[in-house]
Amino acid sequence: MELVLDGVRKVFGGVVAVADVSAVIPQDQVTALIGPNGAGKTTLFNAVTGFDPPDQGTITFGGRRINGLPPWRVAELGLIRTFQTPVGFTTLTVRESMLAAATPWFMETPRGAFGLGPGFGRKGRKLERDAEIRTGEIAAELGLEDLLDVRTDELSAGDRKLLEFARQLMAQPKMLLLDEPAAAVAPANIGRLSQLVRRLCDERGLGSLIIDHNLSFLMQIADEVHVLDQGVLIASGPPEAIAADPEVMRVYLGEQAAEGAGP
Amino acid sequence: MKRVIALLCLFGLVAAACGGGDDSDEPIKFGFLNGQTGDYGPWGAWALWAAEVAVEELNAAGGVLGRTVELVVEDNGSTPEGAVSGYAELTDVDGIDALGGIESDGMLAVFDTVHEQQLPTICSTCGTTELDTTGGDYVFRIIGSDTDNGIIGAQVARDEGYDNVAMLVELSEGTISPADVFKTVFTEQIGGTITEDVRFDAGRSSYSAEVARAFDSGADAVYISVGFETGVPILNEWKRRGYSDVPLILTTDLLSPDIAAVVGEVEGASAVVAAAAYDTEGNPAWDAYVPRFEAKAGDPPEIGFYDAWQYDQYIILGLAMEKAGTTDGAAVAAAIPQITNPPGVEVFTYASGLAELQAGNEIDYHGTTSNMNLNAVGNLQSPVMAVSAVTDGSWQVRDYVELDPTLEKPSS
Amino acid sequence: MTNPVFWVGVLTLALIYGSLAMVLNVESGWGGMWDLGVAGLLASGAYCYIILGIDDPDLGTRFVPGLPMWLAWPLAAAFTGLVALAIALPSLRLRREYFLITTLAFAEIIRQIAVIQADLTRGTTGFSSLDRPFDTLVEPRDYNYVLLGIVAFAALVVYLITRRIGTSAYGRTLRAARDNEALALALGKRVNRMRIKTFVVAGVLIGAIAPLYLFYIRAITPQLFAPGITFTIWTALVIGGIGSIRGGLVGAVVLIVFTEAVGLIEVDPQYINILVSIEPFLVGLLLVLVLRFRPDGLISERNAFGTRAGRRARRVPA
Ligand SMILES: Nc1ncnc2c1ncn2[C@@H]1O[C@H](COP(=O)(O)OP(=O)(O)OP(=O)(O)O)[C@@H](O)[C@H]1O
Ligand SMILES: [Mg+2]
Repeated sequence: MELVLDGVRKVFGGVVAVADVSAVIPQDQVTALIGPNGAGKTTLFNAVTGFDPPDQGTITFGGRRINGLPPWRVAELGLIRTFQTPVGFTTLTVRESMLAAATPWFMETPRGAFGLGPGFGRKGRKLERDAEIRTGEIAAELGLEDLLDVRTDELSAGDRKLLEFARQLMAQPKMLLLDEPAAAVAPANIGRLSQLVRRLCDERGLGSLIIDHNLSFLMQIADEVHVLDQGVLIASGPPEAIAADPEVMRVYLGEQAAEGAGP
Repeated sequence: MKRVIALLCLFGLVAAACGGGDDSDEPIKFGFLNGQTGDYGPWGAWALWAAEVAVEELNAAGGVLGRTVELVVEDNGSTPEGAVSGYAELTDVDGIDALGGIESDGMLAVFDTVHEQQLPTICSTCGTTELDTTGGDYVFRIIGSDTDNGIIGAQVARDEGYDNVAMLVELSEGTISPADVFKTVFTEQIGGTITEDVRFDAGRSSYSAEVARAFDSGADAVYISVGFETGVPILNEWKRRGYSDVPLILTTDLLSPDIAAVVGEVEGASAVVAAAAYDTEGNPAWDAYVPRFEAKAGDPPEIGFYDAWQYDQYIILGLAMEKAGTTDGAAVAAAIPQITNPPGVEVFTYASGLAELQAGNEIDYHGTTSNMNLNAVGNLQSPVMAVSAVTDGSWQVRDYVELDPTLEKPSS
Repeated sequence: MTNPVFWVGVLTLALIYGSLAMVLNVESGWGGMWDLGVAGLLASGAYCYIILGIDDPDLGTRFVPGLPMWLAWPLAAAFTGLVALAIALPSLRLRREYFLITTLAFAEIIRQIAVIQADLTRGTTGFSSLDRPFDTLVEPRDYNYVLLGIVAFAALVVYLITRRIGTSAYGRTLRAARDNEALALALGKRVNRMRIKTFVVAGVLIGAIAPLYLFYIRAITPQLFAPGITFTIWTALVIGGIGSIRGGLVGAVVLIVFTEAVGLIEVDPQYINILVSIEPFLVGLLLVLVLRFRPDGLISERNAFGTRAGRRARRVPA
């Protein structure tokens, strides 16, 4: 199963944010999507996940055309994304957030609330119990077990990043789309993050497509890297090859150098 | 939750401290349930001043049944809900003996309760057609019904000698109902003919087709029931097309200086409006009321503020209670038409009425707004109407007429 | 106590408002749909109930269905649900501020329809002398107690329904989508459908409560459904605590009892004008004080959903 982009194009006013990008992203490997600020990475995510459908081109996942589908439908098909700024469900506790992510749609209806839908009776109770058990397991895996009853808006930025992950896993995805997961995470915890992403891929076959500006983190875990610059896919390949690509270096180092001038 | 219960108890204590008992040495309490705030707020102060003038007059004459009268004021916020809760407070907490001051919507909301509790109630400013047939036991209305605004149009048409009338009617609640009443009374009771009944929605850019249909229909006069906003363009169209030879019968919405100005510009045009009026001509009740109201309010009584009706109702309640010789609601209510209608000595003030009653005479109270004669369903038989006409570009009262009691209210 | 009958009436009104505020909390507090059109839904339910029950041709209405109360009541609730659906479908596409304005506009349109469609609604005259449940069984003067009983039962049912919604997975996802709609979508939540359903459920409940309000008022005119009623319900909810389960009920009791208690203050008639103008100010002051010292209302959402979680947290060894 794979995510296939074919000639995806997105224009904002006069700005071509994504210019005819075609790529094949296997569902069971870790893929990195890099590029300088404003390269169109988030725009591409929005196009894939239905938040901002492309102007042209097709996107398929597992052979199914997904562009034109609403975001919740794309998510139901197993593509679960995170957002660049992790706000979360501000007033929900960690536990509630995780359970909410796991709840099937038929329990999220007025009928479901009164046990009248397909989630009726024993089946519904089993689903809830399973979700609670998984909440405990995943929280433990991510080191969130002590924070289960803390409200999201009271978490540190780092913990909120972990909660993003936890929610995603609760939703039982087929593939993760992570927008800058390493940003705002303490350097000490980035190692843990890398391990987790790798382990999910290697042990469970749960691959990810990751946007980040932290190249050392990405180069460590990625099986394949795509480089976007001004909406154009300028390079694709294994990390070593990309690291050696002079064009990428030019685009990227110029940007890094410019950024280095800042604080 | 405990906190809430504690709060409730606290309110209960406050309420207990505020309330009073029931004793025949206590004053007689007349409730005044009125929109002092909300939609009727602008009229509220005038209504209250007039009510106070009346109660002061009762007390100056020695009170009612030898007891002083207290006006218990309750604001209903101009809403039916406020009327219900205000009514409950007046009856359950204050223990009023009679009620006045209330407006149409509120009256309908408390109507059943008034009957269950047998509380004599006068609706001084209710226009609602719902009271056209349902009053007379405990609820009495001393002002013209909205229905009367339609009837008076027909009466004017009759008195002017128009046999064929065309109608121009805007489709909105306030304009349809008088027009329907006009049409029914004019055709069925007066025997006139409607040459054309033109009805239309408001907010058009032009009304030329409508105006042409009405005025080209060969009518002796055209009856126009439209809102003020629509009235101006229609009359401009009328002016432009030169229909000045066809007289106009207008409704009260058009009793405004702007309309008079338009009509005044047209040579030979004639327009009349009949509207509710105070009974000011040669009426001792009116003459006695005006200076006292002015002393309290700082302004003379004003028809647009409905104050005089608020005054009349408490004089009636005082006299009726005196006539009944008790505060018992059923007896007082039964006495109301007895003191407002003939036979009896015509009286114009509380003091004179009281004297006649104490002398054992029947009385016929004549108030500041009309002769107060009530029909079997507690409605005013002949409200006083002022017929105004445009003279020199402004509205001038031409004459005062009483609504002809032989013209019946059509059932809706 | 002054006169228990008076307080029975006050409590009746408070519980009606409390029920409405608890329903408002489901759609606005949890659902995040800031609905300023409660009066419109209430009018829909009330008029539907009244019109279905008309059995007197002399009233001059076009229809005289004459349905019994027990049939008209649920039909009115269902009809209000349909009205809510008709409002939700176009309005929910809009952002929160526009949703506010749209629902307010719909409520005014409904009220205008009630004014203009006089052959159905009897226009501004409306209906009075309404039948009330069990009114033949007791003396009129005792009926207030019966009505309080009926209304208290209804408030209990509404409380149980809304509590069930609040504590269910459905309520949790509603709150999640309110907090962060994009994130809820990204997790596969059918946010729009869920909100439409919630709005319809609120409509059905408001439609079911509407006849109770009529039993209290004993008459119906379009004026009854002016926007003021919506603002009272909102005020009750804000005082009680938006997002909490029973905040609406508590807030309504506090607000209505306070308002009526203020109305009991007696002054010399010459100061009555001042008192009357001060009354709304005192109610405003209550609101300000509550918001000053308890910004989330008397019962906050945090308490409503936090305590349970908090207790559980304490069981977990540190
Ligand atoms: N909604 C929008 N309307 C107009 N222009 C937009 C919109 N979203 C993005 N853009 C523009 O599209 C281009 C790509 O933006 P995008 O957010 O996809 O970049 P990015 O690669 O994610 O950058 P960063 O690394 O800073 O997050 C930028 O020029 C941006 O200004
Ligand atoms: Mg981005």
